[in-house]
Amino acid sequence: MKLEELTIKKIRKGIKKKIFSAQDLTEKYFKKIKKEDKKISSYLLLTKDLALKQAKKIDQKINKGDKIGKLAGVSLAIKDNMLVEGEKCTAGSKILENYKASYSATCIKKLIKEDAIILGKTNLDEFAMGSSTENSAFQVTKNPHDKERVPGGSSGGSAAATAASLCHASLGSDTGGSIRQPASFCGVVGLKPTYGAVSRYGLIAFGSSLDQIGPITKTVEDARILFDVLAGKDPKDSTSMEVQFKKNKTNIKNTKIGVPKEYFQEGIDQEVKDKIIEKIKEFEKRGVQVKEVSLPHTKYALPAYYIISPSEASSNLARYDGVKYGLKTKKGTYKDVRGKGFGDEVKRRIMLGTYCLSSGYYDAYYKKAQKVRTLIKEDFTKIFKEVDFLVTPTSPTTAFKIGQRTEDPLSMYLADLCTIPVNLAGLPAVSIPAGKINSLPVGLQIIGKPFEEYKILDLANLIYE
Amino acid sequence: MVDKKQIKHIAELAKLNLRAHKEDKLLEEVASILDYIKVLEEVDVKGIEAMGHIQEEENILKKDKIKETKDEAKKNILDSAPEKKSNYFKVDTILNKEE
Repeated sequence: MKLEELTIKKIRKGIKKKIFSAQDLTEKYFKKIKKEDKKISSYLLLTKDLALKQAKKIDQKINKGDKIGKLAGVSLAIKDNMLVEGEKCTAGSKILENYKASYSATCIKKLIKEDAIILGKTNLDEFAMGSSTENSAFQVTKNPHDKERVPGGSSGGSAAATAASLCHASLGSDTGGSIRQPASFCGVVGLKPTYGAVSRYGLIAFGSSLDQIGPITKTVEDARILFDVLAGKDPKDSTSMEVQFKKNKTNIKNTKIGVPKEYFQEGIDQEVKDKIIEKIKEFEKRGVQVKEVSLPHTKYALPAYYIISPSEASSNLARYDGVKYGLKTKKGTYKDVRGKGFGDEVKRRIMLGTYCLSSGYYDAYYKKAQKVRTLIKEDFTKIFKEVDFLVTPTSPTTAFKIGQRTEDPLSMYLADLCTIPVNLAGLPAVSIPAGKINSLPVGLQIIGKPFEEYKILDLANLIYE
Repeated sequence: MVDKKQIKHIAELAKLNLRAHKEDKLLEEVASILDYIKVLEEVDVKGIEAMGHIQEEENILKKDKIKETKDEAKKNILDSAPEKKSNYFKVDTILNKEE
């Protein structure tokens, strides 16, 4: 059994038929991690005891002939901003370096209920703020395709671990592109669900009106299976919704793709554009209709996002006070704990958000950005009356060099140019591999109507093989 | 445009201790981001509603029923605190504190 070639279906079948045991498979991953993760530094923590206990439980079920879950024996890595009871959860921050979760996130409970195995927690930009995973307080994760380059971010650890088969699949969180952009840089599949499709309970909050949890996988089919497990209403997250998803296969022949011209303009690498256009032609060849469309407010999405998300973050991060949990400094004051515990990017965003929300600036910045958000959402609503999907590049470039963008925050922000509008409009989108440029993966983004995750995955499947 | 005095004021509001050299760097960076954001000025938003949230639902309520918390959960929560005393978080004196 080659770890690189497994799928969720194959794992479940193999375990059921006793071709291999859950314990064997889990041990195999830990061996591979021990040998190979030194080179890419994707994990912050391994939860070996938890994993092996869970694996043993699954093997016992098999031996007794009991029913097994949809994810039986599937080894997963979890971005370290989702709580797993009894395990450390750092959010990549010094302020939470020794924090141990006192409960599990709803998505973790759902995975375990379906007999998945949690291998460990993966590296991320501190509090999920960044596009390269270089903002982690603990380590720099490398791109498995080129170790001098970043894996993208902020779910860079999860994407790198998945690409390097140091887990079968993983979970990420996406506030402005943090699942899709690293999936694109690492050549894997990353799905950001519709806002409200997956419970955020137990996810360390960043921008609460934008955050969503989703899967990072090696195949489109695996993303579908994981999403199916994760989705649904949770009484502990009032924004989560019960949706009757249309799961039957879409007849792609009768569908229409919109290609928004604003995503193929200045700021997007020519080679990336060419690659995506090549793939769009492939869709056309397979009978999908293609049409050029326009989303006129696209250029305002990034500036609006850099008001809205830091504003929400500045409020969400007010809870880190060094009293209930987290760092304790000698001086021990609120200000001292925060000054020492937060890294530069987090401070930058707290300052920016506090400024935009402060008296005298609220209307000019925060309120204005909220109105622009309405216009961006309306752009999508209008266009989705004409087409079923939008296809764009996931990121303007392929993976950049480590250190290349850390000095200039704005240049880092531009890495999310194509993914941010989707979060502002609360839509589902997937990034799938679309070939390589100079041996670096390129990602293609498919954006869909609200709660049409299965439909975008069907379209993705059309050209995925 | 944002100046050093404002940066100090904002850091105070955000409860962040900043070292002097960090203040200068943050001033420069925040100013450059605000300059980038300025492009929003050209958008006409007359008559457009502000969107605080993508969902329109409001006031999702639950029954006001007390649920027992397991002792173990209580212990876990308190164990995370940097300082505790019996079943409480320990905090520094805030009121009547001599500066």
